[in-house]
Amino acid sequence: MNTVQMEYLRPGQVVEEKKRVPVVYFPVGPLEWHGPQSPVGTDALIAGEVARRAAGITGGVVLPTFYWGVDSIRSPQEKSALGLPEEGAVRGMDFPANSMRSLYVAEHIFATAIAAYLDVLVAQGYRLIVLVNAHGAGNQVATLQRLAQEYTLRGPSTVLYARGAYAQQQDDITSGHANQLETSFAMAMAQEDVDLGTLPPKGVPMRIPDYGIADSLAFSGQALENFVIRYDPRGASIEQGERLLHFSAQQLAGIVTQTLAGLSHQ
Amino acid sequence: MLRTVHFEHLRPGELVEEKKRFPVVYLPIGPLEWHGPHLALGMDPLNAAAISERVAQRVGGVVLPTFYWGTERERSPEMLEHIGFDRDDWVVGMDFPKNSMKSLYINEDAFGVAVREYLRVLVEQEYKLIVIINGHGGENHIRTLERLAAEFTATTPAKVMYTITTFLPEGEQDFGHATRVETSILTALHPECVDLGTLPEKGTVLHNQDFAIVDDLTFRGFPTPEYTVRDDPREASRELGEKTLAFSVDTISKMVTDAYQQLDK
Repeated sequence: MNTVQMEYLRPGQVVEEKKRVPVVYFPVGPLEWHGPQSPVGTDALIAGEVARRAAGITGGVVLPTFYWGVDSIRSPQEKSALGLPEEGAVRGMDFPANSMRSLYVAEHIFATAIAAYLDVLVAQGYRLIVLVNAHGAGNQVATLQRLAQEYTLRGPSTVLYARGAYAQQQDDITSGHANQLETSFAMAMAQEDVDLGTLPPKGVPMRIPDYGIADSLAFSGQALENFVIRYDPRGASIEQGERLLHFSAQQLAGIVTQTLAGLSHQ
Repeated sequence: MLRTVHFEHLRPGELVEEKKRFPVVYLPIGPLEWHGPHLALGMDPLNAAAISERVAQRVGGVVLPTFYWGTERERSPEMLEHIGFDRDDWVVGMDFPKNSMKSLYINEDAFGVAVREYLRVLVEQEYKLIVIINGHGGENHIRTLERLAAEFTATTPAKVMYTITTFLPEGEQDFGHATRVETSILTALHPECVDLGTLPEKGTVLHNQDFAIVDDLTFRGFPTPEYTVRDDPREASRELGEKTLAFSVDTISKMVTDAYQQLDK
């Protein structure tokens, strides 16, 4: 096969590959605000790219990316941690200062849609279905993990929930939403999708509520004074992004290989 | 001029600007479906995506990531008879018994729920014209999309326009499944996705049931006595594909432009 993407494959190729490695990757992620500098497809694009690279290592095929995702209304504590005003509802990363809203879908319909696709993939006879998710919202992760467990229990396919993005220690400190790490991912996949010129010059502090960008420590209530973003996207690079993509694909492939090995012993 | 029309690759500022200039969004849609042994499963959505991209480049607006979803139902006794099956056989869409794999059809209920939710989100984004570009000919698939388009147009601030993807140039009548025109289109778009070597050599007749390739006249109730395929995919050409794509882009561009102009009124 010269591609792992199912939409470009003919039936004979899909059947042959399923005999060889009965694995299908299902990348998922929303169209979501990722700061003014990054494309709205950042999460889903990461999930798709990492899934393709992992499939290149393990074998199997990759479904077209499903550009859907959910997020929940932030609690008063979360809003306070991110420097957002007390009044008014904020869903996910749709901060009041943003110029547009994300295309989040309703959680119950997201679950229905994923379940409908899983039904089809189970009927295809895949031994292992890998949900590859690069969107960090708690309710997105919980929905996918719940469905993975439920469908695995139901059988005969095993459904594995997996993250789309992984980072070594040197990169992990730069993680968060649309900050250095994610922006590097986006730059490595398509440099022209990222425009750091939409941000203030380096050295000018950027605040979380002004840009819809947040570092991971801020999410856990440890924001810097005045809610300045740590490891902001202006430090992003293609080199870091390529390193992250490579590492993520290796990690995902490792998890899939291990899971498959476990299945073959059953 | 946008650097790309693809929603997922655009930044918020670009999306906001384009929406101000031309508040139109395209939703290409179609299932991963059996299209003979010689065509890729993504035939319908790949076609819808290519047309959406070309129309948006010509008239403006942005294109959502292709929605690789589609639905089908069991064939009616009459249609089964036209294709060469028994009237009481159970055949869903193009998943004929001799196929080596099933299509990835989503059940009709979930399909309707998902498309409805996507439209709700797009209305929330304040697009004035939402254009569903559908590459798949399943009757219930079309009915669901047409129904939702009409309902959203009547009940929301947006107009939702439904259109099929392929319009045939004058003199061409092949609306078949995986026959000459579809094979030509994919040959023009993604030649590596087409392998005519998976079909018998030219001169050997193709039976509908053996390959799940069905011509337009058969679908209309006029099969050959032996239930064989006319508009043979082995007669496909890149030129016919390009010609059909160009005609479809012309036709849909005009439809979108007209619909947009009518919004102002």
